[in-house]
Amino acid sequence: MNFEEMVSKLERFWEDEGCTRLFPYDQEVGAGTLSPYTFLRVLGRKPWKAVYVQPSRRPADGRYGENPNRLYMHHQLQVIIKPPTTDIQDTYLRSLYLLGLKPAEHDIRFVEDNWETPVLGAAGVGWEVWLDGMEVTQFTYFQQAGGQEVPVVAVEITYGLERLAMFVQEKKNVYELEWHEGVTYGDLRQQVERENSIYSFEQADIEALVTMFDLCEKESQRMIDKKLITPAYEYLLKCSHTFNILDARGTVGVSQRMAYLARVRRLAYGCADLYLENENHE
Amino acid sequence: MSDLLIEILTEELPARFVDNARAQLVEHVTTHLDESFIVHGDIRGFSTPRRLVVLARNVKEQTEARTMEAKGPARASSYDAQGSPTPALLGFCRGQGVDPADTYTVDVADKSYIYARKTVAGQKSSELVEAFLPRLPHEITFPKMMHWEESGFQFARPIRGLLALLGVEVLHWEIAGVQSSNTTFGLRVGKPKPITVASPEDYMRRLREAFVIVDPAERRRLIEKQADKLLKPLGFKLGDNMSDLLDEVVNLVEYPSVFLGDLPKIATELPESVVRSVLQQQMHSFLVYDQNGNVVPHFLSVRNGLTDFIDIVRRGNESVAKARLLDAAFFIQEDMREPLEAYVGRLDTLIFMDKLGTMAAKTLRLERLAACTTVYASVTPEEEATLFAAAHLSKADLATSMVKEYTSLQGEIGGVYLSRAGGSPDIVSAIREQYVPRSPSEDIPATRVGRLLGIIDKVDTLTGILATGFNPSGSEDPYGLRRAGNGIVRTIVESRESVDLEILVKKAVEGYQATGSLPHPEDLQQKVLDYLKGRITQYFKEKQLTREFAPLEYLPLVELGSIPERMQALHEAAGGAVLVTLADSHRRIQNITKGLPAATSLPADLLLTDPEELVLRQSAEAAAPRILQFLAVRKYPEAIRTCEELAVPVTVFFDRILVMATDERVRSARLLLLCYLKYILGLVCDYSKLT
Repeated sequence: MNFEEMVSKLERFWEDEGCTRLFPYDQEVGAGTLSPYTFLRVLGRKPWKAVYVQPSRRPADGRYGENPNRLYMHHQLQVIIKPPTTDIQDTYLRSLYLLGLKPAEHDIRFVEDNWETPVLGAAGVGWEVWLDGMEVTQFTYFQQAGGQEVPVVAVEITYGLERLAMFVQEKKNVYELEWHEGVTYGDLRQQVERENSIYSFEQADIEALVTMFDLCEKESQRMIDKKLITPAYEYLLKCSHTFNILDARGTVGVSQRMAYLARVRRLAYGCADLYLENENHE
Repeated sequence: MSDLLIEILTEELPARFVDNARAQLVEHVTTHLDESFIVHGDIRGFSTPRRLVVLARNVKEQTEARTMEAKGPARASSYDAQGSPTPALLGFCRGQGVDPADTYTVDVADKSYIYARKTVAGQKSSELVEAFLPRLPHEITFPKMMHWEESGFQFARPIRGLLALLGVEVLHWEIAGVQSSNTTFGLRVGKPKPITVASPEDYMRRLREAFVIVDPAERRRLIEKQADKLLKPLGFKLGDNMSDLLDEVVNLVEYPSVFLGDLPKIATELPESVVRSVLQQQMHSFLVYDQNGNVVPHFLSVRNGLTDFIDIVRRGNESVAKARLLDAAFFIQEDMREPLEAYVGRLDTLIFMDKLGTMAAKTLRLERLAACTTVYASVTPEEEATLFAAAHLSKADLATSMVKEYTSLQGEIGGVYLSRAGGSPDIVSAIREQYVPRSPSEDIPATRVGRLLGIIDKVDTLTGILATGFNPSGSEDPYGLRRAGNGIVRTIVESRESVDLEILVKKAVEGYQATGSLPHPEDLQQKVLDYLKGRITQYFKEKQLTREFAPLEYLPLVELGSIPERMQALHEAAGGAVLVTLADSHRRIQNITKGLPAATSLPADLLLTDPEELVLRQSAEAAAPRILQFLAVRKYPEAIRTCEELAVPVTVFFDRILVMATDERVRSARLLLLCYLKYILGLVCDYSKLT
């Protein structure tokens, strides 16, 4: 089963479970959680069921396209179900069986792993799911978001698509994965990985990025003041990605780092407050 | 008689919570049964990653009828002037369901009260159990809890099923939207099928058929047996001290199947500590050794499930092990492009602790402390140089990719890198040993410099944490304060090292002042010393050692390391008649000089005239320099014997002399003499605590 078939199967599976299938958010994010489809929708009381693929960029994890496991950008399949169904674990397991994994032939475990994203004031408890020892999914019950306890818990299921595909296709190197018949992951991604690694480790213009961060922060705050959540949040995402490049570039000192994170967090809290305010008005 | 079985079925509980939660469940069920007057037999707890279970044997179906006494209002307010019952009495009687005529009076501490005796009929145990069942999940606490449904109920992970059977009777209860039933689920394999359970015995049998072994002790035995069966024929064995990992693995599986996997070739090129971390911490698997204790290129792992298709599981685990070890090898190779020294320069990018500055600042402080050689008795110039060099490099590995990825390898990795680069073996072992002992069961560092580096690092950490204003209390130890304190005490006591903690702590406080981060400097030195004294007292209490040294009232902290030898000497002297007299004398001296400070010397013109007091003064002044001398060279039996010489003069003194003389000058002279004796004896130990 090639990469795109695997993704389609999973998406279709969750659609059948009642999830709305969305397209990847069209901005750089560090993880599927940062997409407003997760971060904003887990706030408040409104039910929400969605599935989407989210390319996720982690500049510091870039390895110039040379490491078989680590990537500047990887792909997550994100499932958000709020409130969670009582058989959510079994539903998730069925999605794995659908990929041809026979339950009797494998050892599938839920191993404790609690997750937090301080930059969003978000935290949850859950597991990493091990498939014969390999982590293929992060399974989390949101407990906090935007610095507040969530009134209704959402479950977040994040499949690491490259990991899962390597397991399904029995490949040791991510670049050898078959994406489409006759087209490998390497054909599509290796050059991009190399270029982005060179950019974020060597070429990124620090001064320009610092200015960009400041500008985006200002614009985000201005939109928070105007109570326009979406543009405010989109500029927050730009701040977050800009910071991630600066971080990878190795120029951010410790105290500076804390300060940057605090600045992004303040915007996140501002957006979260607006979102909740809106919901309360409805 | 029937058995009572209770099961709370959950999503996978964190392995580290399971044993404690099971113990809590047993404790609460026992309490509830007893408080409900339900007669029962043996109570046992069981658990798997997905269930907490308790089985109470031979539970009586009915409780016995019993009489109960209830205390009512005071007699004075129970009857009015006409002798008629007051509303207070009537209310009490109504509450108890008795007639006022059937009450009686009991005198309690000069006051008369109305009492009622009533008979409580026997009740059905099933109803009593149903009454307490919903409370059980509320009573179990976990270090980290979560909520998942609208009621906001908190548990470690979502509860998905409840089951309680008293014999064949199904008991009804509800919690967090889950209704009890007479069904449970077996091992997760494919589509979940509910298992209907007829009785407690049926539960155990049915679950076994569904590949769940609910008894953790049995799972442990199975793992050990299967491991033995695989390893013995090959002449292999598991490492020592595998008990903690085994406990964890037992709580990760419902049905264990052990398998042996192959390690990739790269494993032989990696330090054993790295391979061990990857396997044990990241994969919950075991390293395998030959009979000579050398690592062999295999690992042992436990599958949750049957042995069917176990080769697929083994291959999967082998490739994960390979990927992780290759990753580690890559990190090591990248890290080692530069010498360890280069990473010292990057420590300013790492925070030591919130509000306490960077690791670079910590390194500077450790170097300062390492240079205070007056603190450590008899260090050689070589040891001094090694300690300084080790302190300088001690935190460097925190900036390496390897330690960022495998934090538990801190210290170890620094040692490995330095050793591979041909560094001095003494510095290497000191860097490796600085975090030791990490747990109460781990030995203290084997090398002297390792011990000293560990002590200064921990004193610095302790001082820093207390400087943040953190107030240590309760059982939580979020910053590792207690671990640091215990590490210091254990290292000094168990190595007999002589370290002047008072000066060391003072220097540590100064170090923070110099590096500019000390949020709460008030009384810091005293706070740290008090905390350490608390750990010292606790240490001796836990070791159940004698109390003579625990108060440390006179003993300077620098003598901490000498306590075991002093105890040994005292132990040898114990039982002698003189020591008994001495203990008695010390007690009398302490009683009469209570609240007065010990005197380290006596003025020449002290107003002493009676022969007995003059003899005592002479004996004391003769003994003191000899005792000090013996202590200086750690000859404790001799010091004790010299103290014993004072037993007779003190006894005679107390027999003949009235300390509390009417003449104030005489009285204070005699008290001063005794305060001097308090000082001399206290230098050796607190004899008054001898029994």
